[in-house]
Amino acid sequence: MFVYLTELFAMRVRGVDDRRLLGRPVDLVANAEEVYPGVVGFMVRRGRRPAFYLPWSQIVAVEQHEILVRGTPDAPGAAHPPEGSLYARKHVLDRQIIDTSGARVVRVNDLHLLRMEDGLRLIHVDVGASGLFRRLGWLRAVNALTRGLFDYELRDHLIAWKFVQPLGHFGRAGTRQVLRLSASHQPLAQLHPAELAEVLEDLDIHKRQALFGSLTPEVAADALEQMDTEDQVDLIEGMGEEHATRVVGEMATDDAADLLSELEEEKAENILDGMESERSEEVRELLTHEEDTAGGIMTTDFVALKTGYTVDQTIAVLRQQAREAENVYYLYVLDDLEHLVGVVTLRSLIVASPERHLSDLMSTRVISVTTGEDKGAAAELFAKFRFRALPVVDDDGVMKGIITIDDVLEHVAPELNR
Amino acid sequence: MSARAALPRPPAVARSWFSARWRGLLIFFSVVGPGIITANVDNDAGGITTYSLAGAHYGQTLLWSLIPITLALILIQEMTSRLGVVSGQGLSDLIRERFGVKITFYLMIGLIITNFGNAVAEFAGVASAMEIFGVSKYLSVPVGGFLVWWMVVKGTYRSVEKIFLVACVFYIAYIVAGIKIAPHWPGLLAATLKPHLELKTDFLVMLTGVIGTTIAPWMQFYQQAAIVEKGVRIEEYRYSRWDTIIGSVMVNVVAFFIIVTCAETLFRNGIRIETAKDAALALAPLAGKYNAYLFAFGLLNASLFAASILPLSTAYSVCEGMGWEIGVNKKFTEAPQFYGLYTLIIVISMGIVLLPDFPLIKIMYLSQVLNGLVLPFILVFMLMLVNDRELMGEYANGRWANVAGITCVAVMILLSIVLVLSPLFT
Repeated sequence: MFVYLTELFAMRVRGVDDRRLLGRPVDLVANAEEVYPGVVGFMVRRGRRPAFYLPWSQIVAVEQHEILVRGTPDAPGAAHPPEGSLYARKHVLDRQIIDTSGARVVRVNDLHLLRMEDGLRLIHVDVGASGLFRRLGWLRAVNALTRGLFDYELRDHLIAWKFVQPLGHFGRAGTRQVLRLSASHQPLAQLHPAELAEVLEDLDIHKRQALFGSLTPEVAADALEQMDTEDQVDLIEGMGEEHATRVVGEMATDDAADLLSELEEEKAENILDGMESERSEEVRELLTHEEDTAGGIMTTDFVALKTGYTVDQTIAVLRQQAREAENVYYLYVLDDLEHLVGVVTLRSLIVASPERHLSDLMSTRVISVTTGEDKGAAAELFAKFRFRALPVVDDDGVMKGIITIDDVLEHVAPELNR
Repeated sequence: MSARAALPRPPAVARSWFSARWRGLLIFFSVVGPGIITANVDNDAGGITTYSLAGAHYGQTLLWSLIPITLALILIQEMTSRLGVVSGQGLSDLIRERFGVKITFYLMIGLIITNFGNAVAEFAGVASAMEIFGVSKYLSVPVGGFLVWWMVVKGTYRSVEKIFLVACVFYIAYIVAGIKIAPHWPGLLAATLKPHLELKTDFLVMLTGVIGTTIAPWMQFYQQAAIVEKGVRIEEYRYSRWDTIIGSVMVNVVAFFIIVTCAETLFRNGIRIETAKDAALALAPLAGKYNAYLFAFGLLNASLFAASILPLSTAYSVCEGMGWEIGVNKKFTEAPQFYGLYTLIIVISMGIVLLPDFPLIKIMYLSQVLNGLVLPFILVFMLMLVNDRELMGEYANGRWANVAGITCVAVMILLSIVLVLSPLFT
């Protein structure tokens, strides 16, 4: 049977033997580590005295209107809630949360708990109108009205706790602590990076920074790639240099270069110095290109192969490189001096017999752009040939990077009419 | 070596001083906007009407009140913008998290009603101003409403802010009109510096009206939201404070010239007026056609400006407090409450103004009374929040800020009560 937090807060806490009034619950403490947090105790207040902690072990029963307590805790405040607990009112009620099932930021009107043999468990949060009216004490009146007029009753809008990412509370001015959830309960992991980016952009600056700082560098980098440059700069400037370096290190090289070019020079230098030398060199080179050129929007994360490889060898190389590469459908074949000499599609590779050489499979008429060419020219090639990626070479024909279709969209879209 | 180290190096010092100043100026321009815009919107149709009446009926005797008003305005708006910078949250968000859903809900209802009253007054201002130019309200009000709606729905925060900053410049119309009247400056200065109080009900009501029209409930919500939206950082805050101060001074300089213009012309000739339109029309024979046009243009600008901000600010504050989706970059189905409230306020207030026998003066008065009823609550919540050490840390109010803040809020509450109760005495 379910009970709402509002109903629990309306109860009185009494001794089971003498029925003495001990106070009213003002907060509910639960175990944040669990997927559906079990209640470990209440914060109870009597009159104007400070609230004390009432652990679950002292509670005999949660009745209709009363919470009955074993014995009489003579020294309230003897016990303390466990560190890192989830507080229903302090952390969740009336606060914004991220609903990861709908990928949006909402405000919590009520909490929905399940009564079980061994206690209470937090199952849902209520973000709907009925929760709002319940809090205001109007729910029955409103329901009677809507039923009478429209034959309609307000429904609960509940979100299961496993889809809820709380946004924490203030530690001290201007800082926000994000509640640590257990490893098995990571609601944000269910979001697509683009959704995560959108949700982050909906949050105010402190919440955004706190939540972003709590993400792993890989997840943070994926989300960051989807954001506006302005928001990227705000987030990176707002975090410690060490963490910032790790996040930028996980980004695609072209996105990293775009971001670094917008940062203050000193900060950008420090981040580059902290990155793996091979990666930072690639990013540094990308930074030398003009913003509006093919070189300025390309990435260096592409799959490069040698002419002498067999199909088998190629697939082995591909297994290693595919994770990093932005596009694996086109594989570029380079000679010993890294000149672009051919291209092989993934399709032709898969259907070919394992011992054939790439030089037999590859198409040698490769369409490419040079690094200095205008990005608009690159976009036209995409439109004409329907490519998903386009190689970029320097004036000597040395392969420098690729432009993918999403790079083109990102750079051309702002110029289209919305 | 030691001798060289001891040598003073003035050029480097001078350069760093210069570059620090330059940098400061750049930061100032990056955070400027919320304070100046909020303060200027405050000189809306209702404000201009009140100042015109004050000048026409009481001459220069109310000019002194602009000095304490400026100080009070700076004090209150500084607190709300500090709340915004430190917490990164809007005012209704903070009220909801700190005081719960019940208080927030009823406060938001109050805010909707008072802002709605103000919005009606703004569209009435558009109608009056355009009537001076000979345009029927049945044309000017729908066109004005559409402009306002279109700008907000199609614009971005940054582009809209620029339009608003330009609108602020047009208030110069009033300053030009005031200077063209060429008043007796020394006498004016004396009147400004010497407080003058008459213990008569109508004088006190007028005084309360002048003060009440300058500090309105929507201002705290709007400025805090704008500061949060702009993402002003705590390190930049001291520059942002200048934004508030400049805005508050600007708004009162404009008010000063409105009062002066009306005092030098209408009061001198004993002309009674009831609205800002009366003032502009009565100015024509006394101060020339162009001064009347300047006055009318100022009224149009102010009304349109405030009409763009009030409905938006209301929808923003309410949705933030209740936890509904916000944003002009969302689709209607994603943020139905936001768009619904925004559009409804514009459409209904336009409709009321277009009624054939629209009681302008009653509505203006009513919206001021509503402001007076809601303002005390907001100011008290704001003071509690800005004193919350858990929220504000080292940026909480100090003792002197509190003495000044509490005094100011107490006076505002007292004046609001006077304004609300005044019909009983007249």
